[in-house]
Amino acid sequence: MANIAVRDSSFEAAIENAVRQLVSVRHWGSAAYINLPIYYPSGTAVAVKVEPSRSGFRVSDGSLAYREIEQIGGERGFANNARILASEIGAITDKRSIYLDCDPEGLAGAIADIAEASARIAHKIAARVVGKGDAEIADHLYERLKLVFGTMRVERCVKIQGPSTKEWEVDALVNLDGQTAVFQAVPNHHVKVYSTAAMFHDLAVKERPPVTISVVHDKTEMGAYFGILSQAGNVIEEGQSDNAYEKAASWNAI
Amino acid sequence: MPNPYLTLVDSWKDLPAGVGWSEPHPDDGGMEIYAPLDIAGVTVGNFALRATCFEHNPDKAVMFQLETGIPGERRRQPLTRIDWNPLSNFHKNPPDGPQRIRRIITGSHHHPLEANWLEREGRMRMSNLPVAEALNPNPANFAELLDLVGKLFRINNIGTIPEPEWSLKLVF
Repeated sequence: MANIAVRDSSFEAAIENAVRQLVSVRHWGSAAYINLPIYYPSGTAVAVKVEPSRSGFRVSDGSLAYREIEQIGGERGFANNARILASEIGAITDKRSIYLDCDPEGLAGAIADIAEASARIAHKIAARVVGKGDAEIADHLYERLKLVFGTMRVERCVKIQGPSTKEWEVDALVNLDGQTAVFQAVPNHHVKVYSTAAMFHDLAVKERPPVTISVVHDKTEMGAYFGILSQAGNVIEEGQSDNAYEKAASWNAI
Repeated sequence: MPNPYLTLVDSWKDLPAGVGWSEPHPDDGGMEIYAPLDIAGVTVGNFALRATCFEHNPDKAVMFQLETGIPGERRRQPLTRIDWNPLSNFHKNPPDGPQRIRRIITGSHHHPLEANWLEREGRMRMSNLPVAEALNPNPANFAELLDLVGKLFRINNIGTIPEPEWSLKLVF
């Protein structure tokens, strides 16, 4: 039986209301600010600034990417990263913003390009800056491993070379009888998930591969990232029992 | 794990004398304040109030943030922030944020310390204070904004910060 879509005014009103929470344009003075559902790391939506210019329109990110990364101390990375991403879309940068000049026909494309590039700049720098915060999580993991396996068996921040010849730094290495286990603290962030998976896959083809374990906060929160990690090694949650840590260090299915 | 930043945010603080806005940046007209803070007469190292606005956006895009430095690193740890009449109209909260907070909020908002602290993991949420709640009511002017910042950030003499010298930009 065919489904007949019932559309009434409340259905359409709900959708229009939702869209108004995602996309908007506001005119202030000589400029317009166009909000798009593309987000900076803090959750702030990108707002592209459009002003009149001699060639038609100047479309800029209004320094919002710069302000975003300044809040976490990443502003020194703006100039280089902005220049690289701007070159991909033919945009120009100054010390704090990225912009494009265009005619009316190119306006929509310019708005889309600047919005995407601005968010990419902020995410790229934030990932690098916030990545340093992973050290705090690794600290927590190291303390836990010492309690489970004993101080003498646990090494912190160990460099290991894989068959690829790349030298990886692991959060902790546990030396068991005749076997080693690599523990890596993995926050729910794509950069750390992908780098951990790449490292574990490389270590897995060593002549004597270590057992590899990702330690996450909550498996259910990881979504698709959980699958990526589980293909690369064992996964446990940080709050699990000592027994779970011991088993994870001894089971190597690869 | 107890939140180590709670004392910094919850203690009553004082700004030093003479805090004011920087000259507008030549590229975007951005103006800033970076001021150390005293708690009980002690200037706390690496702890500061940061504020930003734009010369050509009167009564808009004003940000106040309490932040602490990370020893040995250039990065900062934002602790709490207020965005007043931001240029971006929307903020998206993470899906695992407190249930009382709406996913998409509009206009002025506050990023509270408590909502951005993960108790079980003993650390701040990553990605620059991603949880925010709408300011209701929204301060009607800069003086009201300062009052609110003083209350939420617990800064006794917040009123010593002058209003930015805004100017309207003439085009062509």
